[in-house]
Amino acid sequence: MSDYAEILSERAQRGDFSAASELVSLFYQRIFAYLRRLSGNDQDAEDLTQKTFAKTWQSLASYQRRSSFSTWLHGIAYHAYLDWRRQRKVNDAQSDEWWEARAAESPTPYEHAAERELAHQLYRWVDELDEEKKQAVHLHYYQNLPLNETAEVLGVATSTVKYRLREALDFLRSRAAKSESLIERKI
Amino acid sequence: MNEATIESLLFRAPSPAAPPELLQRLQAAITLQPAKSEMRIPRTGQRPFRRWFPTLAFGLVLVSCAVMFGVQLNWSAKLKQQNESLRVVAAGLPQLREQHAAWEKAVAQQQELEGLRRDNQELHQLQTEVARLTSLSAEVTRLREQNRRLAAAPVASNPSTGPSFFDQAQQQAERIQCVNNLKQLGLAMRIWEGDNHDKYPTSLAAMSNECSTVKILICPSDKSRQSNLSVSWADFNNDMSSYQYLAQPDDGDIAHPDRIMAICPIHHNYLLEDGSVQSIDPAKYHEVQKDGRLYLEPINSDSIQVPTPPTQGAQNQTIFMKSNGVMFLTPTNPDPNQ
Repeated sequence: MSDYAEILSERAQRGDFSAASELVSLFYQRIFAYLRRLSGNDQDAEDLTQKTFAKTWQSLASYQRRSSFSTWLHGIAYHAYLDWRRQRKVNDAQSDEWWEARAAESPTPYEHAAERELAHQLYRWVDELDEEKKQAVHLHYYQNLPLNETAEVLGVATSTVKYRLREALDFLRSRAAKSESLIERKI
Repeated sequence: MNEATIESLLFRAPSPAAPPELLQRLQAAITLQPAKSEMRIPRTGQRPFRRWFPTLAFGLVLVSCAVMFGVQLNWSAKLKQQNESLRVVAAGLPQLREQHAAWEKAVAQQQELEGLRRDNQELHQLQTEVARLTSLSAEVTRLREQNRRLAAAPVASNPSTGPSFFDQAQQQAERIQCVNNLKQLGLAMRIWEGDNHDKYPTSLAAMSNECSTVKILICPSDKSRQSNLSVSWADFNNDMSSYQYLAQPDDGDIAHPDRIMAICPIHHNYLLEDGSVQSIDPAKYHEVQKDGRLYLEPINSDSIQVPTPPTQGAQNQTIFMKSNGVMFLTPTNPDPNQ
Protein backbone atom coordinates (compact mmCIF):
# COMPACT_ATOMS: atom_id res chain seq x y z
CA MET A 1 0.00 0.00 0.00
CA SER A 2 2.89 2.27 0.73
CA ASP A 3 4.25 2.30 -2.80
CA TYR A 4 0.77 2.63 -4.16
CA ALA A 5 0.16 5.59 -1.84
CA GLU A 6 3.39 7.21 -3.00
CA ILE A 7 2.40 6.85 -6.62
CA LEU A 8 -1.01 8.28 -5.89
CA SER A 9 0.46 11.17 -3.96
CA GLU A 10 2.81 11.99 -6.82
CA ARG A 11 -0.11 11.98 -9.22
CA ALA A 12 -2.13 14.11 -6.85
CA GLN A 13 0.75 16.58 -6.66
CA ARG A 14 0.51 16.93 -10.42
CA GLY A 15 -3.21 17.70 -10.00
CA ASP A 16 -4.75 14.28 -10.59
CA PHE A 17 -8.13 14.46 -8.83
CA SER A 18 -8.84 10.75 -9.12
CA ALA A 19 -5.55 9.95 -7.41
CA ALA A 20 -6.42 12.31 -4.57
CA SER A 21 -9.85 10.65 -4.29
CA GLU A 22 -8.18 7.26 -4.14
CA LEU A 23 -5.86 8.51 -1.38
CA VAL A 24 -8.88 9.58 0.65
CA SER A 25 -10.44 6.16 0.20
CA LEU A 26 -7.23 4.51 1.32
CA PHE A 27 -6.59 6.54 4.48
CA TYR A 28 -9.79 8.12 5.77
CA GLN A 29 -10.76 5.07 7.87
CA ARG A 30 -7.39 4.99 9.66
CA ILE A 31 -7.28 8.72 10.22
CA PHE A 32 -10.87 8.75 11.46
CA ALA A 33 -10.16 5.85 13.84
CA TYR A 34 -7.04 7.58 15.15
CA LEU A 35 -8.84 10.84 15.75
CA ARG A 36 -11.97 9.10 17.09
CA ARG A 37 -9.92 7.31 19.76
CA LEU A 38 -8.28 10.58 20.74
CA SER A 39 -11.16 13.00 20.53
CA GLY A 40 -13.81 10.81 22.16
CA ASN A 41 -16.80 11.52 19.92
CA ASP A 42 -17.80 11.00 16.33
CA GLN A 43 -18.61 14.57 15.47
CA ASP A 44 -15.24 15.97 16.53
CA ALA A 45 -13.48 13.06 14.87
CA GLU A 46 -15.30 13.84 11.61
CA ASP A 47 -14.40 17.50 11.83
CA LEU A 48 -10.79 16.73 12.58
CA THR A 49 -10.63 14.25 9.72
CA GLN A 50 -11.95 16.87 7.32
CA LYS A 51 -9.47 19.42 8.62
CA THR A 52 -6.68 16.92 8.24
CA PHE A 53 -7.45 16.23 4.62
CA ALA A 54 -8.04 19.89 3.85
CA LYS A 55 -4.61 20.68 5.25
CA THR A 56 -3.21 17.77 3.27
CA TRP A 57 -4.43 19.21 -0.03
CA GLN A 58 -3.12 22.63 0.93
CA SER A 59 0.31 21.30 1.74
CA LEU A 60 0.55 18.60 -0.88
CA ALA A 61 2.58 20.82 -3.20
CA SER A 62 5.26 21.13 -0.54
CA TYR A 63 5.36 17.40 0.26
CA GLN A 64 8.91 16.35 -0.63
CA ARG A 65 8.74 12.63 0.32
CA ARG A 66 11.25 12.74 3.09
CA SER A 67 8.87 10.31 4.84
CA SER A 68 6.09 8.06 3.61
CA PHE A 69 2.74 9.56 2.72
CA SER A 70 1.13 7.66 5.59
CA THR A 71 3.58 9.16 8.09
CA TRP A 72 3.12 12.63 6.65
CA LEU A 73 -0.68 12.27 6.82
CA HIS A 74 -0.56 11.03 10.41
CA GLY A 75 1.67 14.02 11.28
CA ILE A 76 -0.95 16.39 9.91
CA ALA A 77 -3.68 14.56 11.85
CA TYR A 78 -1.60 14.67 15.00
CA HIS A 79 -1.09 18.43 14.74
CA ALA A 80 -4.77 18.95 13.90
CA TYR A 81 -5.64 17.06 17.05
CA LEU A 82 -3.16 19.12 19.09
CA ASP A 83 -4.71 22.37 17.81
CA TRP A 84 -8.20 21.11 18.56
CA ARG A 85 -7.16 19.93 22.02
CA ARG A 86 -5.47 23.26 22.78
CA GLN A 87 -8.63 25.15 21.78
CA ARG A 88 -11.11 22.84 23.49
CA LYS A 89 -9.05 22.00 26.62
CA VAL A 90 -11.11 18.81 26.93
CA ASN A 91 -10.50 15.77 28.99
CA ASP A 92 -10.22 13.27 26.21
CA ALA A 93 -10.30 10.13 28.30
CA GLN A 94 -12.75 7.71 26.75
CA SER A 95 -15.69 6.44 28.71
CA ASP A 96 -15.80 2.82 29.69
CA GLU A 97 -18.96 2.28 27.71
CA TRP A 98 -17.33 3.40 24.53
CA TRP A 99 -14.43 1.01 24.83
CA GLU A 100 -16.81 -1.73 25.86
CA ALA A 101 -18.93 -1.12 22.81
CA ARG A 102 -15.89 -1.01 20.57
CA ALA A 103 -14.59 -4.22 22.05
CA ALA A 104 -17.97 -5.89 21.58
CA GLU A 105 -18.32 -4.86 17.94
CA SER A 106 -14.69 -5.44 17.12
CA PRO A 107 -14.28 -7.92 14.28
CA THR A 108 -11.09 -9.20 15.95
CA PRO A 109 -12.09 -12.36 17.77
CA TYR A 110 -11.21 -12.54 21.45
CA GLU A 111 -10.55 -15.96 22.77
CA HIS A 112 -13.04 -15.68 25.61
CA ALA A 113 -14.97 -13.22 27.68
CA ALA A 114 -12.16 -12.77 30.18
CA GLU A 115 -9.81 -11.63 27.45
CA ARG A 116 -12.42 -9.18 26.22
CA GLU A 117 -12.78 -7.83 29.71
CA LEU A 118 -9.02 -7.58 30.01
CA ALA A 119 -8.74 -5.75 26.66
CA HIS A 120 -11.46 -3.40 27.73
CA GLN A 121 -9.54 -2.54 30.91
CA LEU A 122 -6.26 -2.26 29.04
CA TYR A 123 -7.61 0.32 26.60
CA ARG A 124 -9.03 2.25 29.50
CA TRP A 125 -5.63 2.27 31.23
CA VAL A 126 -4.01 3.49 28.04
CA ASP A 127 -6.21 6.55 28.23
CA GLU A 128 -4.89 7.17 31.74
CA LEU A 129 -1.35 7.53 30.43
CA ASP A 130 0.11 10.96 30.05
CA GLU A 131 -0.22 12.58 26.63
CA GLU A 132 3.20 11.73 25.25
CA LYS A 133 3.06 8.05 26.13
CA LYS A 134 -0.54 7.81 25.02
CA GLN A 135 0.32 9.28 21.60
CA ALA A 136 3.16 6.80 21.24
CA VAL A 137 0.83 3.86 22.06
CA HIS A 138 -1.91 5.11 19.72
CA LEU A 139 0.40 5.59 16.77
CA HIS A 140 2.53 2.50 17.23
CA TYR A 141 0.00 -0.06 18.43
CA TYR A 142 -3.41 1.22 17.39
CA GLN A 143 -2.31 2.72 14.05
CA ASN A 144 0.38 0.09 13.40
CA LEU A 145 3.04 2.65 12.52
CA PRO A 146 6.66 1.49 12.80
CA LEU A 147 8.82 3.02 15.46
CA ASN A 148 10.68 5.34 13.10
CA GLU A 149 7.46 6.63 11.55
CA THR A 150 5.93 7.11 14.99
CA ALA A 151 8.99 9.17 15.91
CA GLU A 152 8.65 11.25 12.74
CA VAL A 153 4.97 11.96 13.43
CA LEU A 154 5.70 13.02 17.01
CA GLY A 155 8.84 14.94 16.02
CA VAL A 156 11.10 13.09 18.46
CA ALA A 157 13.91 10.57 18.21
CA THR A 158 13.20 6.87 17.77
CA SER A 159 14.92 6.15 21.07
CA THR A 160 12.50 8.52 22.76
CA VAL A 161 9.55 6.63 21.31
CA LYS A 162 11.06 3.37 22.55
CA TYR A 163 11.50 4.83 26.00
CA ARG A 164 7.94 6.10 26.10
CA LEU A 165 6.55 2.76 24.95
CA ARG A 166 8.63 0.96 27.56
CA GLU A 167 7.29 3.26 30.26
CA ALA A 168 3.73 2.74 28.99
CA LEU A 169 4.07 -1.06 28.98
CA ASP A 170 5.51 -1.03 32.49
CA PHE A 171 2.57 1.04 33.64
CA LEU A 172 0.03 -1.22 31.97
CA ARG A 173 1.70 -4.34 33.35
CA SER A 174 1.71 -2.97 36.87
CA ARG A 175 -1.94 -2.01 36.59
CA ALA A 176 -2.80 -5.45 35.25
CA ALA A 177 -0.91 -7.16 38.06
CA LYS A 178 -2.69 -5.05 40.61
CA SER A 179 -6.06 -5.88 39.07
CA GLU A 180 -5.32 -9.61 39.02
CA SER A 181 -4.36 -9.58 42.67
CA LEU A 182 -7.64 -7.87 43.52
CA ILE A 183 -9.62 -10.50 41.62
CA GLU A 184 -7.80 -13.31 43.39
CA ARG A 185 -8.53 -11.72 46.73
CA LYS A 186 -12.24 -11.52 45.88
CA ILE A 187 -12.27 -15.16 44.92
CA MET B 1 -0.55 -10.70 32.28
CA ASN B 2 2.78 -10.62 30.47
CA GLU B 3 4.11 -8.00 28.11
CA ALA B 4 3.48 -10.04 24.97
CA THR B 5 -0.17 -10.38 25.86
CA ILE B 6 -0.44 -6.67 26.46
CA GLU B 7 1.20 -5.86 23.14
CA SER B 8 -1.00 -8.38 21.36
CA LEU B 9 -4.13 -6.83 22.80
CA LEU B 10 -2.89 -3.33 21.97
CA PHE B 11 -2.20 -4.33 18.37
CA ARG B 12 -5.72 -5.75 18.17
CA ALA B 13 -7.35 -2.60 19.48
CA PRO B 14 -10.77 -1.96 17.92
CA SER B 15 -10.87 0.47 15.06
CA PRO B 16 -14.02 2.60 14.99
CA ALA B 17 -15.70 2.74 11.65
CA ALA B 18 -16.08 6.05 9.92
CA PRO B 19 -19.56 7.25 8.94
CA PRO B 20 -20.42 6.22 5.39
CA GLU B 21 -21.11 9.77 4.23
CA LEU B 22 -17.68 10.98 5.41
CA LEU B 23 -15.94 9.56 2.37
CA GLN B 24 -18.16 11.53 0.02
CA ARG B 25 -17.64 14.73 1.98
CA LEU B 26 -13.91 14.28 1.99
CA GLN B 27 -13.76 13.53 -1.71
CA ALA B 28 -15.95 16.52 -2.43
CA ALA B 29 -13.65 18.76 -0.45
CA ILE B 30 -10.50 17.89 -2.45
CA THR B 31 -8.88 21.08 -3.73
CA LEU B 32 -5.67 20.36 -5.54
CA GLN B 33 -3.20 23.12 -6.38
CA PRO B 34 -1.18 23.18 -9.57
CA ALA B 35 2.18 21.44 -9.35
CA LYS B 36 5.28 23.55 -8.76
CA SER B 37 6.99 22.22 -11.82
CA GLU B 38 4.27 23.67 -14.05
CA MET B 39 4.63 27.08 -12.45
CA ARG B 40 8.31 27.37 -13.16
CA ILE B 41 9.39 30.05 -15.59
CA PRO B 42 11.24 28.64 -18.58
CA ARG B 43 14.82 29.73 -18.69
CA THR B 44 15.13 29.84 -22.42
CA GLY B 45 15.56 33.40 -23.65
CA GLN B 46 15.58 34.80 -20.10
CA ARG B 47 18.52 36.33 -18.20
CA PRO B 48 21.29 35.85 -20.80
CA PHE B 49 23.93 37.04 -18.37
CA ARG B 50 23.02 34.29 -15.90
CA ARG B 51 23.09 31.75 -18.67
CA TRP B 52 26.48 32.84 -19.97
CA PHE B 53 27.96 33.60 -16.59
CA PRO B 54 30.02 30.36 -16.27
CA THR B 55 31.54 30.89 -19.71
CA LEU B 56 32.25 34.54 -19.05
CA ALA B 57 33.80 33.75 -15.65
CA PHE B 58 36.04 31.10 -17.17
CA GLY B 59 37.08 33.46 -19.97
CA LEU B 60 37.79 36.21 -17.47
CA VAL B 61 40.00 33.89 -15.45
CA LEU B 62 41.88 32.90 -18.63
CA VAL B 63 42.42 36.53 -19.61
CA SER B 64 43.60 37.35 -16.09
CA CYS B 65 46.09 34.49 -16.21
CA ALA B 66 47.38 35.69 -19.58
CA VAL B 67 47.83 39.22 -18.29
CA MET B 68 49.64 38.00 -15.20
CA PHE B 69 51.88 35.83 -17.35
CA GLY B 70 52.77 38.80 -19.54
CA VAL B 71 53.51 41.00 -16.55
CA GLN B 72 55.76 38.35 -15.07
CA LEU B 73 57.60 37.96 -18.36
CA ASN B 74 58.19 41.68 -18.47
CA TRP B 75 59.50 41.71 -14.88
CA SER B 76 61.77 38.78 -15.68
CA ALA B 77 63.26 40.58 -18.68
CA LYS B 78 63.88 43.70 -16.61
CA LEU B 79 65.54 41.69 -13.86
CA LYS B 80 67.82 40.00 -16.40
CA GLN B 81 68.85 43.34 -17.82
CA GLN B 82 69.52 44.71 -14.36
CA ASN B 83 71.55 41.65 -13.51
CA GLU B 84 73.75 42.14 -16.57
CA SER B 85 74.40 45.77 -15.73
CA LEU B 86 75.30 44.82 -12.17
CA ARG B 87 77.78 42.22 -13.44
CA VAL B 88 79.46 44.87 -15.57
CA VAL B 89 79.67 47.16 -12.61
CA ALA B 90 81.00 44.39 -10.39
CA ALA B 91 83.97 43.94 -12.74
CA GLY B 92 85.38 47.33 -11.66
CA LEU B 93 84.60 46.76 -8.04
CA PRO B 94 88.23 46.46 -6.70
CA GLN B 95 89.16 49.76 -8.27
CA LEU B 96 86.06 51.35 -6.83
CA ARG B 97 86.94 49.97 -3.42
CA GLU B 98 90.41 51.49 -3.61
CA GLN B 99 88.90 54.82 -4.62
CA HIS B 100 86.45 54.57 -1.82
CA ALA B 101 89.20 53.81 0.70
CA ALA B 102 91.20 56.80 -0.53
CA TRP B 103 88.15 58.98 -0.30
CA GLU B 104 87.43 57.80 3.23
CA LYS B 105 91.05 58.50 4.21
CA ALA B 106 90.83 62.02 2.76
CA VAL B 107 87.59 62.60 4.59
CA ALA B 108 89.19 61.45 7.86
CA GLN B 109 92.16 63.77 7.34
CA GLN B 110 89.82 66.62 6.58
CA GLN B 111 87.88 65.93 9.76
CA GLU B 112 91.10 65.75 11.77
CA LEU B 113 92.21 69.06 10.30
CA GLU B 114 88.89 70.64 11.18
CA GLY B 115 89.25 69.36 14.73
CA LEU B 116 92.75 70.79 15.01
CA ARG B 117 91.50 74.13 13.75
CA ARG B 118 88.77 74.15 16.33
CA ASP B 119 91.26 73.25 19.06
CA ASN B 120 93.57 76.04 17.92
CA GLN B 121 90.75 78.54 17.95
CA GLU B 122 89.70 77.41 21.40
CA LEU B 123 93.30 77.70 22.59
CA HIS B 124 93.44 81.28 21.35
CA GLN B 125 90.23 82.06 23.18
CA LEU B 126 91.60 80.51 26.35
CA GLN B 127 94.77 82.55 26.09
CA THR B 128 92.73 85.72 25.70
CA GLU B 129 90.63 84.75 28.69
CA VAL B 130 93.76 84.04 30.76
CA ALA B 131 95.15 87.46 29.90
CA ARG B 132 91.90 89.12 30.87
CA LEU B 133 91.73 87.21 34.15
CA THR B 134 95.36 88.08 34.87
CA SER B 135 94.61 91.76 34.46
CA LEU B 136 91.52 91.40 36.63
CA SER B 137 93.57 89.63 39.29
CA ALA B 138 96.05 92.48 39.31
CA GLU B 139 93.20 94.92 39.59
CA VAL B 140 91.77 92.96 42.51
CA THR B 141 95.12 92.92 44.21
CA ARG B 142 95.45 96.65 43.73
CA LEU B 143 91.93 97.27 45.05
CA ARG B 144 92.59 95.09 48.06
CA GLU B 145 95.74 96.99 48.82
CA GLN B 146 93.92 100.26 48.43
CA ASN B 147 91.11 99.07 50.66
CA ARG B 148 93.53 97.93 53.32
CA ARG B 149 95.29 101.27 53.15
CA LEU B 150 92.07 103.23 53.37
CA ALA B 151 90.87 101.12 56.28
CA ALA B 152 94.08 101.68 58.17
CA ALA B 153 94.42 105.37 57.27
CA PRO B 154 92.17 107.03 59.96
CA VAL B 155 93.67 104.98 62.74
CA ALA B 156 97.15 105.63 61.55
CA SER B 157 96.69 109.33 60.96
CA ASN B 158 94.63 110.22 64.11
CA PRO B 159 93.69 107.45 66.53
CA SER B 160 91.80 109.89 68.83
CA THR B 161 89.28 111.05 66.25
CA GLY B 162 86.43 109.04 67.88
CA PRO B 163 84.23 106.15 66.96
CA SER B 164 83.93 104.86 63.48
CA PHE B 165 80.93 105.38 61.21
CA PHE B 166 79.34 102.15 62.38
CA ASP B 167 79.79 103.09 66.02
CA GLN B 168 78.18 106.43 65.33
CA ALA B 169 75.27 104.78 63.58
CA GLN B 170 74.86 102.37 66.47
CA GLN B 171 74.85 105.26 68.96
CA GLN B 172 72.32 107.15 66.87
CA ALA B 173 70.08 104.12 66.70
CA GLU B 174 70.28 103.64 70.45
CA ARG B 175 69.48 107.33 70.99
CA ILE B 176 66.40 107.03 68.77
CA GLN B 177 65.37 103.87 70.59
CA CYS B 178 65.75 105.75 73.91
CA VAL B 179 63.49 108.55 72.64
CA ASN B 180 60.96 105.96 71.54
CA ASN B 181 61.05 104.32 74.98
CA LEU B 182 60.34 107.67 76.66
CA LYS B 183 57.49 108.33 74.23
CA GLN B 184 55.89 105.03 75.11
CA LEU B 185 56.48 105.74 78.77
CA GLY B 186 54.69 109.10 78.46
CA LEU B 187 51.76 107.39 76.70
CA ALA B 188 51.56 104.76 79.45
CA MET B 189 51.59 107.48 82.10
CA ARG B 190 48.76 109.27 80.31
CA ILE B 191 46.70 106.05 80.20
CA TRP B 192 47.44 105.35 83.86
CA GLU B 193 46.35 108.85 84.79
CA GLY B 194 43.08 108.46 82.87
CA ASP B 195 42.33 105.27 84.75
CA ASN B 196 43.31 106.64 88.22
CA HIS B 197 41.44 109.93 88.75
CA ASP B 198 44.03 112.15 87.06
CA LYS B 199 46.83 110.99 89.32
CA TYR B 200 50.27 109.96 88.10
CA PRO B 201 51.67 106.59 89.22
CA THR B 202 53.95 106.46 92.23
CA SER B 203 56.61 104.55 90.30
CA LEU B 204 57.45 103.16 86.89
CA ALA B 205 56.87 99.66 88.14
CA ALA B 206 53.23 100.55 88.88
CA MET B 207 52.51 100.86 85.13
CA SER B 208 52.82 97.16 84.40
CA ASN B 209 49.35 97.05 82.82
CA GLU B 210 49.97 100.10 80.64
CA CYS B 211 53.48 99.23 79.47
CA SER B 212 53.73 96.42 76.93
CA THR B 213 57.14 95.26 78.21
CA VAL B 214 59.90 96.17 80.64
CA LYS B 215 62.17 96.84 77.65
CA ILE B 216 60.77 100.36 77.31
CA LEU B 217 62.09 101.15 80.82
CA ILE B 218 65.70 100.31 79.94
CA CYS B 219 67.82 102.52 77.70
CA PRO B 220 69.61 100.46 75.02
CA SER B 221 72.83 102.35 75.78
CA ASP B 222 72.66 101.46 79.47
CA LYS B 223 74.93 98.41 79.28
CA SER B 224 74.83 97.84 83.05
CA ARG B 225 71.06 97.22 82.96
CA GLN B 226 70.77 95.10 79.82
CA SER B 227 70.44 92.04 82.05
CA ASN B 228 67.15 93.48 83.35
CA LEU B 229 65.52 93.04 79.96
CA SER B 230 64.60 89.49 80.92
CA VAL B 231 63.14 90.43 84.33
CA SER B 232 59.39 89.96 84.69
CA TRP B 233 57.03 92.70 85.86
CA ALA B 234 56.59 90.97 89.20
CA ASP B 235 60.31 91.24 90.00
CA PHE B 236 60.82 94.66 88.48
CA ASN B 237 61.54 97.76 90.63
CA ASN B 238 62.45 101.37 89.91
CA ASP B 239 66.18 100.81 90.41
CA MET B 240 66.18 98.42 87.48
CA SER B 241 65.04 101.17 85.09
CA SER B 242 67.49 103.41 83.25
CA TYR B 243 65.17 106.38 83.47
CA GLN B 244 64.69 108.75 86.40
CA TYR B 245 60.99 109.13 87.21
CA LEU B 246 60.13 112.62 88.48
CA ALA B 247 56.30 112.82 88.32
CA GLN B 248 54.41 113.52 91.48
CA PRO B 249 51.48 111.20 92.25
CA ASP B 250 49.05 113.91 93.32
CA ASP B 251 49.45 116.06 90.24
CA GLY B 252 47.81 114.47 87.22
CA ASP B 253 46.38 117.35 85.22
CA ILE B 254 48.44 118.94 82.47
CA ALA B 255 48.83 122.25 84.19
CA HIS B 256 52.55 122.42 83.42
CA PRO B 257 53.06 120.76 80.04
CA ASP B 258 56.80 121.59 79.95
CA ARG B 259 57.53 120.02 83.28
CA ILE B 260 60.06 117.19 83.23
CA MET B 261 58.51 113.76 83.92
CA ALA B 262 61.36 111.38 83.18
CA ILE B 263 65.03 111.69 82.26
CA CYS B 264 67.53 109.52 80.44
CA PRO B 265 70.86 110.50 82.09
CA ILE B 266 72.83 108.85 79.31
CA HIS B 267 71.36 110.59 76.28
CA HIS B 268 69.96 113.61 78.11
CA ASN B 269 66.50 112.85 76.71
CA TYR B 270 63.71 114.51 78.67
CA LEU B 271 60.08 113.35 78.76
CA LEU B 272 57.85 116.36 79.38
CA GLU B 273 54.35 116.34 80.82
CA ASP B 274 52.74 117.02 77.43
CA GLY B 275 54.15 113.67 76.18
CA SER B 276 56.94 115.11 74.05
CA VAL B 277 60.55 113.99 74.34
CA GLN B 278 63.37 116.52 74.07
CA SER B 279 66.96 115.62 73.32
CA ILE B 280 69.00 118.38 74.94
CA ASP B 281 72.64 119.40 74.70
CA PRO B 282 73.72 119.60 78.37
CA ALA B 283 76.18 122.33 77.48
CA LYS B 284 73.34 124.65 76.55
CA TYR B 285 70.51 123.64 78.92
CA HIS B 286 70.25 122.72 82.51
CA GLU B 287 67.49 121.62 84.88
CA VAL B 288 65.82 124.20 87.05
CA GLN B 289 63.56 123.43 90.02
CA LYS B 290 60.51 125.64 90.54
CA ASP B 291 57.67 124.95 92.95
CA GLY B 292 59.00 121.48 93.52
CA ARG B 293 58.98 120.75 89.78
CA LEU B 294 61.88 120.46 87.32
CA TYR B 295 62.04 122.43 84.10
CA LEU B 296 64.59 122.87 81.31
CA GLU B 297 66.27 126.23 81.06
CA PRO B 298 69.01 127.54 78.71
CA ILE B 299 72.26 128.41 80.29
CA ASN B 300 73.27 131.55 78.34
CA SER B 301 70.32 133.19 76.61
CA ASP B 302 66.77 134.02 77.73
CA SER B 303 65.08 132.84 74.58
CA ILE B 304 66.67 130.52 72.15
CA GLN B 305 65.16 128.15 69.63
CA VAL B 306 65.95 124.59 70.44
CA PRO B 307 66.07 122.10 67.57
CA THR B 308 63.56 119.42 68.31
CA PRO B 309 64.42 115.81 67.83
CA PRO B 310 62.48 113.92 65.17
CA THR B 311 60.07 112.32 67.61
CA GLN B 312 56.37 111.76 67.11
CA GLY B 313 54.20 114.24 69.01
CA ALA B 314 56.96 116.85 69.08
CA GLN B 315 57.02 117.47 65.38
CA ASN B 316 56.23 120.99 64.24
CA GLN B 317 56.87 122.20 67.79
CA THR B 318 59.44 124.63 69.06
CA ILE B 319 60.71 125.24 72.57
CA PHE B 320 60.66 128.89 73.53
CA MET B 321 62.19 130.24 76.71
CA LYS B 322 60.04 132.83 78.39
CA SER B 323 61.17 135.65 80.62
CA ASN B 324 60.56 133.69 83.76
CA GLY B 325 63.11 131.15 82.52
CA VAL B 326 60.56 128.29 81.94
CA MET B 327 60.62 126.50 78.57
CA PHE B 328 57.33 125.94 76.79
CA LEU B 329 56.52 124.03 73.65
CA THR B 330 54.54 125.93 71.03
CA PRO B 331 53.52 124.85 67.52
CA THR B 332 55.61 126.19 64.65
CA ASN B 333 52.48 127.42 62.86
CA PRO B 334 50.14 128.30 65.70
CA ASP B 335 46.45 128.71 65.07
CA PRO B 336 45.79 132.48 64.71
CA ASN B 337 42.42 132.07 66.42
CA GLN B 338 43.99 131.02 69.71
